[in-house]
Amino acid sequence: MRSFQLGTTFFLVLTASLCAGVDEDFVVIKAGRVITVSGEQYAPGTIVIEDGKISAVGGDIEFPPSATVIHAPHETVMPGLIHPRSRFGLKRYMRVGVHGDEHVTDEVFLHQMRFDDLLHAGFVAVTLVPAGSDIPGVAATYRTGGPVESRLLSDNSYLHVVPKWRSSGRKMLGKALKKAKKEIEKVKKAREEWDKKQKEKAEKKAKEEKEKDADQDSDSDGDDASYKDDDGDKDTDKDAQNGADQGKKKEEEKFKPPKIDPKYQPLVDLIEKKKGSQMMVTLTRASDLLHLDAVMDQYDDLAHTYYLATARSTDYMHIVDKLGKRKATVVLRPWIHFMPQTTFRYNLMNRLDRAGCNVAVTPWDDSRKELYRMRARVAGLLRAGLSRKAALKSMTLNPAIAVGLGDRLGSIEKGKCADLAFLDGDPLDPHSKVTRVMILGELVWQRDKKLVGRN
Amino acid sequence: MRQFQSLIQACLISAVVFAVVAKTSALADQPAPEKKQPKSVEKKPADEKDDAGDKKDKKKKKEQKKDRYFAVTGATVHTVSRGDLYGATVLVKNGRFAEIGRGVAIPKDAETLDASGYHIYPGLVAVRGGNVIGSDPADETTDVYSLWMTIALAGGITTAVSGDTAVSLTYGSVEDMVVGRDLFVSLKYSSNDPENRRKVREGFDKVRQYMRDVQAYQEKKKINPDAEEPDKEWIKGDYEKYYKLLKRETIAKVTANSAHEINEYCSLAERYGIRLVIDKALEGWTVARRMARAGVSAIVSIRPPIFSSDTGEDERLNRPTGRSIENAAILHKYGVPIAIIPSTASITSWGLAGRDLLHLNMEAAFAVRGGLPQDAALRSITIEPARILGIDDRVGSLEVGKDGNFMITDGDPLHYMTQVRWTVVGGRVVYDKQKESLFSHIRPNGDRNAPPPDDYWPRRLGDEQ
Repeated sequence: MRSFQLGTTFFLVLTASLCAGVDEDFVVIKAGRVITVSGEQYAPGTIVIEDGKISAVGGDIEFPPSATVIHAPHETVMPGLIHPRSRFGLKRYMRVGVHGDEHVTDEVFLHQMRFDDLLHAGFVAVTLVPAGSDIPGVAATYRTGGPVESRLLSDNSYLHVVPKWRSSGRKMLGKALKKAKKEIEKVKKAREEWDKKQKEKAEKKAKEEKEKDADQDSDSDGDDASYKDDDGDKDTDKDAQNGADQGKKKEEEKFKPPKIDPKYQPLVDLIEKKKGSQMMVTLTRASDLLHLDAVMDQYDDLAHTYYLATARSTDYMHIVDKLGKRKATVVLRPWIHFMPQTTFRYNLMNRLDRAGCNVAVTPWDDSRKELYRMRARVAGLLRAGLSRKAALKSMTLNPAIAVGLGDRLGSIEKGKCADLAFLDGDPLDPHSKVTRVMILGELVWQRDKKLVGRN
Repeated sequence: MRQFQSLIQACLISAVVFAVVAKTSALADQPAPEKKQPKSVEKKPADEKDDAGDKKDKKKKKEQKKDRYFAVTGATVHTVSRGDLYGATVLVKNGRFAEIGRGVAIPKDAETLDASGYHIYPGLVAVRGGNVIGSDPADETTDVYSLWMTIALAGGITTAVSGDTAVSLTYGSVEDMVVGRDLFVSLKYSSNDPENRRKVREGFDKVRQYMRDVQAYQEKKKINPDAEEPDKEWIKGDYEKYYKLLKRETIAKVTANSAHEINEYCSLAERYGIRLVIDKALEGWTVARRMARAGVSAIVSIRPPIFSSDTGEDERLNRPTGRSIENAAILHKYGVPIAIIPSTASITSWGLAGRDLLHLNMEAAFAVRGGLPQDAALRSITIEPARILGIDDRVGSLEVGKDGNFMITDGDPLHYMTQVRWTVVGGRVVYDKQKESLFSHIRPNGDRNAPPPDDYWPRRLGDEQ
């Protein structure tokens, strides 16, 4: 660890000394190959990074001569992997019931956590979820490296919904959504009542003013010049008072909505289609989709993704077409599934992809071995018919979309964050290794210590 | 002579059949009257009601949806409640029987199934669902893609009960699952617990007194409009149960095996005039007359549970005791309505011997072995359980207006060689023998003369070459 720190400091010092007087904002990667995921592949490729963000990508493009150049002629650069559903480094517990007010950010202490295993496996972001069943809370996404201040990518990646197997998850979700809807109606009602009151007040005021005006008119009938000045003074006083009054009233007039039960706040946001709010629904069996649809169809397009929790022997093949038709975003573990109670195998991920779903993969579990092994597992599915494009997307862009960061991470495009992974071979070659990881335009880890500071 | 007799018989049968056909088609010609919905059916939980109003547009779309037709032609239709029809057509519209009979006009866009040579029977009703369906509540937790459900459908079962909810086995769909909710209440009146017996009796007495008071009050009110209404706040919990039972709005499901217990329950039923169904009723055959007089019904299993050698016999008693294969037959003879269910009411891997829900029909066949008439045996797994549970307006027989649930078999369901070829639930084929891997290798397409399947069970190791 210590050597790592030393290495980093050494590297920083070296770069600082090298780059003295150079435009520090520009970093250029000249790689043997660049896999953009969203677009074409460049070999050799160049990525221009400005201020931690990708400003250009291409085969052989021009870049400012003052830029820091990272030479990686024997490496492949791809967007960093994203782990869409993890409990990495968090403690075990079981939370049951609806807890929309619980955020995973409350249990993450960045200064205590080390995401090294993730980082070394090529992951640049990880979404941590609250544990438990029913609705245990809100998930958050963190960068696995870089400065601590920039680690938190999103504190509201999705609401974690985990219906219990063989018990009524449908009832649970239905009840929760209904409660959320009631909360919305409560606010609406209060608003209406308040509007009504305001109207009444305004009317009353108007009436009073009219009466006042009438009185004033009667007063001002007598035209005594000697009082005029006093009147003027009084008027100004009155104006001042009126101003003060109005200020006060403005404060009063501000509508104070009744407090929404914080446990149901995320669901309220979902129903109101607040931007960035979505939920990830866990499906244990194929029939869960039908049961939950029966509840969710009662509301207009609740933003949601699915997590297919069961691996090995599953009956998800029944719902592939249904999921494909609605172009659902589906997270699953890369694995050749078995039809239930049989030894018939089927490539669920491939079927989902061909049906039209956005498929994202998540490592089998959070153990170091499995984090390293994920690419190999996806490669295995590739051998069983999965397309290369889908395989690459499933590890980068699709998980980014699944956690609501599709516009910031997941591919090498102009404007996206420069969170990249360098590999010494093809990402879908089981033998290839991650050589370096870049986060926000800065190399945060390199496998070969000799490489440190070479640029 | 004998030939002549059979000829006359055949003539008579055909006449009857013709009459029935004429009647059914006449019935079919009339516009189907709006079926009244009984209380127990489609009682949605209150909390779902307001949500439903949410999506008016979607509902409108649903209304505009085209009618869904499904027709089965050419089969022998055994309606159970209205005789048999030969070469008849069954037309299902939007999941309900629209027409049953000959000469039925099939709409152009109907999905049709030619079942010539096959027999149509109503789907079987299992009074216990076991692992075929979920529980609490069954319609929200059932795994509609489970293998157990497919196996149950392969056995011809289309309706199963879990808790006090009956659901259709709508494989691959959760729509229109519920057949009935709150079908029965449970009641305990065991002689092992005299304190409880006293409580139950007192409860019934109290509620009955209240009902009398209400009657008296209604009479009084005619003369004196200021008459005081009896307090009804206390009718909650158990009292509400008793109230429903006394009003005969529901049926009480009780478990009793010995003649003594059954007698006690019969006395209770007679004393308060409540509807009772006795589950198990092992020694029912010894007190059948008593049960018939008390008007109770029974849910019986013909064969003992697997791994059980206990016959329930007690040699110390100077009367017939223990289980009997004639149980169902004797109960039927005395007029006790019976429903038959295997002793293991779920699909099990040790049920290959046929004592679980995989072979509900075989359980009834064993009752025939004990002397139960064939038709009564068939009724005891179709319409009788439906009547006992109060869902006979939806399932149990083939009648216009009922749910389109039926099985298409290659023979008499009480015969051991009979296989279900298709099972239809709500006008949708949910089981097709040739498409499922379960029994597709056994007599493909119902050909009884086909050579035995290649795949013998149990497979002997080393035989394969």
